Amino acid sequence: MADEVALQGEGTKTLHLKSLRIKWQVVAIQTIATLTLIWLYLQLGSNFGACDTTNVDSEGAALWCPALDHTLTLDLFENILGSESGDSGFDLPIPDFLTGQGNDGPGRYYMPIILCGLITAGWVFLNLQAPQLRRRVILGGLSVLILFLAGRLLLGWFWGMLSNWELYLPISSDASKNHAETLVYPLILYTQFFIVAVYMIPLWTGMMGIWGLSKRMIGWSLGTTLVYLGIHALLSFEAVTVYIDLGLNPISPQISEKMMLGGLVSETIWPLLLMSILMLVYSESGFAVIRNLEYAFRLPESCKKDPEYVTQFDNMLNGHLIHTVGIFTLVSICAMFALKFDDLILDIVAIFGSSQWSGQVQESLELQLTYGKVISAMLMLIFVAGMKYILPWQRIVGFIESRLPDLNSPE
Amino acid sequence: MWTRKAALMMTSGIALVLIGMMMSNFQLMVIGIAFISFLAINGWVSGHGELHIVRTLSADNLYKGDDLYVELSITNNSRRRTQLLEIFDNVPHEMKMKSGLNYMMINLGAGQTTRIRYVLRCPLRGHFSLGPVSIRFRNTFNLFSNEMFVDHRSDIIVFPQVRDVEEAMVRSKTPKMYTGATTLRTPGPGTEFYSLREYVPGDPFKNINWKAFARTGELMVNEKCRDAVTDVFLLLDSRDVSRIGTVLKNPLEMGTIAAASLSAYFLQRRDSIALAVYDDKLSYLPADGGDKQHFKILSSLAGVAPRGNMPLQAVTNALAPRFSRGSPVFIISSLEGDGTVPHAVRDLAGRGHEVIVLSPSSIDYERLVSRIPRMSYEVMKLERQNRLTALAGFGARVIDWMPDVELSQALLQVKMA
Repeated sequence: MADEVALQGEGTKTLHLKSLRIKWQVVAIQTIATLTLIWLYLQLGSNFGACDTTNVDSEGAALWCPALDHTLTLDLFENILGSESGDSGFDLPIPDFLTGQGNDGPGRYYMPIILCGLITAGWVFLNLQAPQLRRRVILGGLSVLILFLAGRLLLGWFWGMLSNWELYLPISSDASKNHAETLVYPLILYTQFFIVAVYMIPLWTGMMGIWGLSKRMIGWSLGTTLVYLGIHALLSFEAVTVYIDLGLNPISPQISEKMMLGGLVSETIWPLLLMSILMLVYSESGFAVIRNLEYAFRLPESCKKDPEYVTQFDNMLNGHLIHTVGIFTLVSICAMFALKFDDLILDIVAIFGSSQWSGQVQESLELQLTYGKVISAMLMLIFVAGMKYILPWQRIVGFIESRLPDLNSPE
Repeated sequence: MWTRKAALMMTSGIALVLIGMMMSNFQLMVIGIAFISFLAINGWVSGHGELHIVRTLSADNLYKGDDLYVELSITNNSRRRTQLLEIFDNVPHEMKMKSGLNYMMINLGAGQTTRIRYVLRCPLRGHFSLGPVSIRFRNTFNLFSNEMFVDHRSDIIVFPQVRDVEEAMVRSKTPKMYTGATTLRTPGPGTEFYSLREYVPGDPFKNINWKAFARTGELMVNEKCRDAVTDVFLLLDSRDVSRIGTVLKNPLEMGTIAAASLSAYFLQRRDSIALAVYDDKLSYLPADGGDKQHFKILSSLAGVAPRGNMPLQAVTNALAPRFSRGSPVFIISSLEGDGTVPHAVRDLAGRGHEVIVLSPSSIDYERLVSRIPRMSYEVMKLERQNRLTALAGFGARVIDWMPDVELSQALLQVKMA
């Protein structure tokens, strides 16, 4: 039908990356992702950050193990260097308060987390600069690192050759001609930094991914976390520890009787479940920001200024925020119920009295071991998935959403 | 429908549960259960395509190269949110997006409306249809998707371009032909009196000559002299060979532009135009004048597509009884692959028609898309020149229309001849 067609409008709010980066919904999702990442890392540290108590040497001193604790490796490194140099009071160049050495519990991670945040902020700020300036800063940084490593060696060596008026190599048994020693301090510094960086890979790559809008970085962060969990599971597996026991603290296969959250979840399961949920929230929020900003970035210029596109973009972000809160709450409750479903089955079986069948079922579930728990949880999840076809969720969700405040009201 | 991510999550969830069971590791099992739980809960929420969609166009008919303004109004008439929907308005691939976008991601609340506005450039003539509207629901976390269609279509016709044709360029040797409305000594619709005749049922009452009726006692009607607008016949070659060249520049495209421009020019002068398009069959539009005829011609030209191989002589033979005596006939053809052209031209000229052959040079159009060795090109060009010379020998006025020459400039050759 031919009629008057209005041109695309132009509003005050646009979908340019510059303005989107400071949009409250975008910042909120990025903050959710960052906080869950930090929480996840701290939770990983609390679960997998200690060695088994039996991992001690003949003198009763704690031995190193591949637990998620950088201070263990730094301590080991410090001890090796101390014994090599013969200095029992040897300290690593980066002060302990920055690396968390000497602290216990989550205190080990606080300063490195802050440092990761600062490095991320610097990196994101640098990425917002002009490419030429960015290149100059990166080259400048690399030059400083190289100069710090080799500058003293070269200056001392050339000055030594000039003052002695002879050509010689910088490595010598003569202390006045052995300039290679100047390499030790920077190398130790870099190694110490490298050790902290390796342990913190999930954190700094994740932060850079979230704020620097890089899917690859978030992928690295999640990948390294999962790989660590896998390695930990493998190295603490009973069949492996028989041959190689690195002293890792295994997760108890027995579920504690102590309950939390009003008897909804066992104390043993809660931290594990929390980590799983945090991992999901972090990955979904982190990727969602990039996905949504990619969509906005690819829009033509006229659409970026069109108030219709801006409104719908706001709707999308608001929808994402609501779903993040609503769905993840439901997922947590659902998983808790699923892991508690065996109790319900036991109660149901108890109704049937003491028949042979009910006795067998009861016996297998009451073992409280993994199999019964997990199989009953899977049954519960199948039931939950099937509820899609039973209850009118769309109407329920619609009803709830109609009662929610309008997030699109003027900011 | 499950997305790849959902399938991957399900697979890894089950794998983690199994590996966890195998290794008695609760962490892996709990991660697996969380993954599956995430999928199960997300499965509850789904979007819907109960939308009221209205597409408004700036024009139903437009000329090739013009811009078409489109507005797609989408209203959520249901009482719940649509959830995340991708809206894609299907546009013909022949059209180019000039500004805006025919795609939007929306999340409409109950009763909300949004509008997608975009501008299309129509570089090709033809009959086109916009729509249907594709809708894809995507779960917030990109786990499930569902594709739907709203079968809402809008038809448009893109006419060939009409270029200016200067009067002097097509002035005929026969003054009567191009001088606009003059009277002919034949009965027909017109203004001047021709004769009286007896009334026959169906004659309009206003034509009854009441004085003659009073005098003779029989109903008599006034017969008028026909206002002799010239009947111009356009024969457009739409055979398969006329597709040679690029999509935008080929003998058929140039032919449609020429036919549209000539018909506009003659209709403006109140002449009558007849159009015959021959491809695998003959489509004939009888001679008539006015805006309605202009629309019919443009619509007919918009739908012309290269196909078939009908010889020109079959066309002229079929139309011979319909040709008005002495009327000019324009043949718009590349003249390729049709041995009957000289005979047809000879017949037309023999019957007293002014024959003008407007021939887009297909060899030069072919050169736009493929390399032709210089020697081959020269030979083919010579052959074509001989063919054109032969037609001129039969009494036709031949215009060799090169790709880079404007229509008005090409028609100048008639005047110069």
